[in-house]
Amino acid sequence: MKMRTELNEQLKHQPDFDPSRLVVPNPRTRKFHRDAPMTQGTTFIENESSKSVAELFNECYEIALLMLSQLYSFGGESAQQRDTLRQSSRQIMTSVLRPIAEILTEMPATTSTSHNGNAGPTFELYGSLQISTQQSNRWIIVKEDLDAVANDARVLSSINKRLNFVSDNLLLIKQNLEQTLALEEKL
Amino acid sequence: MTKENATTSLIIKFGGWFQCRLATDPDPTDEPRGVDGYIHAVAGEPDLDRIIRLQPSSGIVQRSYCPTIGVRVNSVHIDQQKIEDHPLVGAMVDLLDELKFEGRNGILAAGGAEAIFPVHLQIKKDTVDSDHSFIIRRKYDDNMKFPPLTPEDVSKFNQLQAIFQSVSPGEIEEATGIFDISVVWKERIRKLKADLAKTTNEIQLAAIKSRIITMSDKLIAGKFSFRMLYSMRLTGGAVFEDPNVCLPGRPVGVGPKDPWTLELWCGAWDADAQSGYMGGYLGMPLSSSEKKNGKSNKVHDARNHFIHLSEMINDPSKIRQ
Repeated sequence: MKMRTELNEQLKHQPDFDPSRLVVPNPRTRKFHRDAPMTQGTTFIENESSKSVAELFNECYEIALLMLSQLYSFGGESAQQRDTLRQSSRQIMTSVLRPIAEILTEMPATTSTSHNGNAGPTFELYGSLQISTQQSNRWIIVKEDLDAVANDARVLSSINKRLNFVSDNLLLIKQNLEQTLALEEKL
Repeated sequence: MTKENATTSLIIKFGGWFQCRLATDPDPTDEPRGVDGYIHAVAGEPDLDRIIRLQPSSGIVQRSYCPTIGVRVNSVHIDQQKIEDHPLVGAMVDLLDELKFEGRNGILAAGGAEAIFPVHLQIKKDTVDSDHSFIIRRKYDDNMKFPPLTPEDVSKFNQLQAIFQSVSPGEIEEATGIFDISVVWKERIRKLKADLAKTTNEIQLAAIKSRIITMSDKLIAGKFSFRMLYSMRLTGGAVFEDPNVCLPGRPVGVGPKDPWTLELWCGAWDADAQSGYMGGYLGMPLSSSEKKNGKSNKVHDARNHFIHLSEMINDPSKIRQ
């Protein structure tokens, strides 16, 4: 409410003041979702580059959820492993998801030459989120997923150089997981 | 007696204010303005860049009523004797190649233990009576890549992390003359409020208000008493130019087997000035062929002493051996 009051006050002095990015309503990368069939009020991201970056966001979002699921569905992970999962899921939010989301809000949502609004993070899951019952498999899946998205981010860095920063962060998070697992093996 | 391979120890101590305009957690480390953390580029200022600047060069954003940036040599010690009025006192100390704090929101290093990278130290003194300056320059390592993604680079990177953090208001007062930053900030806020009453410039008004909000936060003021300690061995490429023979010899060697030691601390974080204090020393063995009046055995140990020191820095478990 405080910010709304401040905005209204500013608009009185400067009617064209626009402090936010013009993101389209409820952006999505798929026209149809099994779990969200209603398309009313949503905007399909038509621009191919924007759609690729939004899909990268979703893949990273899924990894964050996978890590949180592993953290909260105990499968024999040690205290140190659980701490690494907790830290890594938080680090994905600050150093991966947020930068990609910011990049998206500066990219066009449509292919139209007229400015019809920018893309944004879509928070979609392309399948049901499943976590292995076997702890060793859980680690393999998370590490392979991190490798894959790091590679995707590197490829997409031709669209926005900041995705190199994202790719590096994903590789470093994977490295931290590996170091934690290696340490446990030594013990 | 004269020993061609005799060595003397050189210790150069330095201190002064540095600036580092960096986004803080939970902002991602490449955040240009500062959104969710406590550091912000205020209205009218350029983007944040994380670069640690030790000299008042381009890139410094000098806010009003804040300390002047500049790290300089305080004293020079040869074979453990402080040389009064040594010509290098006052020389500029710099860290080249856009040194930054690297932690990446805890991915690379925990908050308060961030590494500094790349380390490339320079001590430089311009002379009035010579076209050539005195220059000592050395890198931490010539081959390390960033971000560290190989075991070798990870090991090298870990050596650049802060080895210790402490709350040291006494040490900080000794170096800066300030025990409690909130007292300084109170006076700074008073001056800024006076400026606020005089200015009609909207950008300046926004900038001053933002600064006052930062300085009104006691938690942020508490960061002033915090110190991060670093200790590392420099084994990379070196430059040594001493046209006026300020020092009694040249570095013994500059290969990996002849490390120099660099110890420093960063603290006294003035979040409003986006500045902190850096103190430390550079140590190295110098070759010396001078007669030492019976102290030849002692001075001859200097090289081995630095090698031993750097081994302990590399592997602290050696201290217990």
